[in-house]
Amino acid sequence: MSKRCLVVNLDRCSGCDSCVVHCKYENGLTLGEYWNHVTAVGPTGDFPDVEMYWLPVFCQQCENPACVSVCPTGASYRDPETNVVLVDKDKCIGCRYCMFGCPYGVRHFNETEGVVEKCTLCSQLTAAGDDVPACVHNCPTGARFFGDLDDPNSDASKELAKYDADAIHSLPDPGNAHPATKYILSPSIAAWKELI
Amino acid sequence: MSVEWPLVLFSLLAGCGGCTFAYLALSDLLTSNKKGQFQIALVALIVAVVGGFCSVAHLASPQNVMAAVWNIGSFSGISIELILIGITCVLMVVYMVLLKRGAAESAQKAVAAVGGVFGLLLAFFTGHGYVIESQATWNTELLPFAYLGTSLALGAFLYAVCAVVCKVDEADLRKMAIPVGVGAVLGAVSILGYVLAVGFEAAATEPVLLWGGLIACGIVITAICGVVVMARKQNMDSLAVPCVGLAATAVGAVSLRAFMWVVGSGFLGLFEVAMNSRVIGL
Repeated sequence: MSKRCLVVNLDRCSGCDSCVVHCKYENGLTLGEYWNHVTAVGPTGDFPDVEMYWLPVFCQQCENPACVSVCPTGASYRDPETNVVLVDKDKCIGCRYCMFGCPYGVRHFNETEGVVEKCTLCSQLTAAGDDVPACVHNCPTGARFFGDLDDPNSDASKELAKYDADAIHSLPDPGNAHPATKYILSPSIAAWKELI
Repeated sequence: MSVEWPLVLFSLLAGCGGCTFAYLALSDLLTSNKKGQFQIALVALIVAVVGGFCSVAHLASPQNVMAAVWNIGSFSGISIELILIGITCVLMVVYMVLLKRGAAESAQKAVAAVGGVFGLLLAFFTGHGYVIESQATWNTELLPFAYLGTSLALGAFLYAVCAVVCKVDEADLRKMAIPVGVGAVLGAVSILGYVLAVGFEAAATEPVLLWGGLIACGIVITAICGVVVMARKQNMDSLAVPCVGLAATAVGAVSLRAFMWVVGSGFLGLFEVAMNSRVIGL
């Protein structure tokens, strides 16, 4: 089974929001609806030693996703082929337990359809394995990489392989979630903040 | 986090109905007089069923509840609640049928006892679904015990009020004084336990809920009423103390559930941070 997810190189991310815009275009998201967002971490330190970085946030494709385990209908599930966590809208009853269970607050409740939605890694484009998510394709700084982390030849694995372990990070884990998404932030650019 | 009122009312009423039936079951085991038992069982059933309907209002559409029923084997928090409220209500109905038909005493007591246990489980599991690691203020077993404790106190006083209204014999009421009082005190202790688990500093950010709802009503007045009932210094056929206890416990139980929601902030809540300020200031 593959382990598809995103790798974001924060050394390159300029916080331009292109990924946010193209996510909305590709997935037809309405005003105020996001599956991907960019926030600033910092600035921290005292002048002249000040630093900050941009942090794109979206579904982290947790290895033990609480959103799946709390779902009463099986609407939140992990695709057995791609390992991507998805929502089957036909099964979703709009109870929002998955939103309470998500450690990162990156799910959105679609009031019109009465269902919860989230980043699908553009599964409409990527399911066959021959395309990349819209946010990856349209990133003007080439900061985003998509692929199977278990495949050393995937774009995501190759980008990670360029960096030492001290530059590779994950969002903090509340316990046993094990977020699969990786962020690259070199110590020379900024110190990684745990956010909690 | 905003308060999800349908879920507050569901856990409050379903737990209250289940625990009222648990007290009824205890009185059935302790006494042989059946006066008022049917009416009290009916009240417990109505309260639990109304609670069940409240939970449906939380879904995107009420008819979506059928999807939850078809997936009852998922054993998620919602499916466990559905299973327990279903079994508890069925046992309440069976108990009432046995009463009406004058069935064997042993059968009545057995059904009442099993139903009472399921009523307690229902009260506990209406809070257990919230114990998830992503919500630091919910991720403690003291939370479902607080749900159970407040439901127990509510059930105790609702049973006492119903028993007095139904003119249950004073001798039988006296046998229930200690259990009713213990239930009230456990309710107060369970609220205190959850507040301490959340942390007094964090709890103090909600002063009205903390001082008015939880401490004044849920702990102090509830515990005093429980002790007064246990001390048996009032006429057991008086409605005053049970009514004051029921009102105070109801306010405390609602406050506990609302408090759980407002102190629930999630682990990181990144979209909320991004949309509100775009900056994580460290």
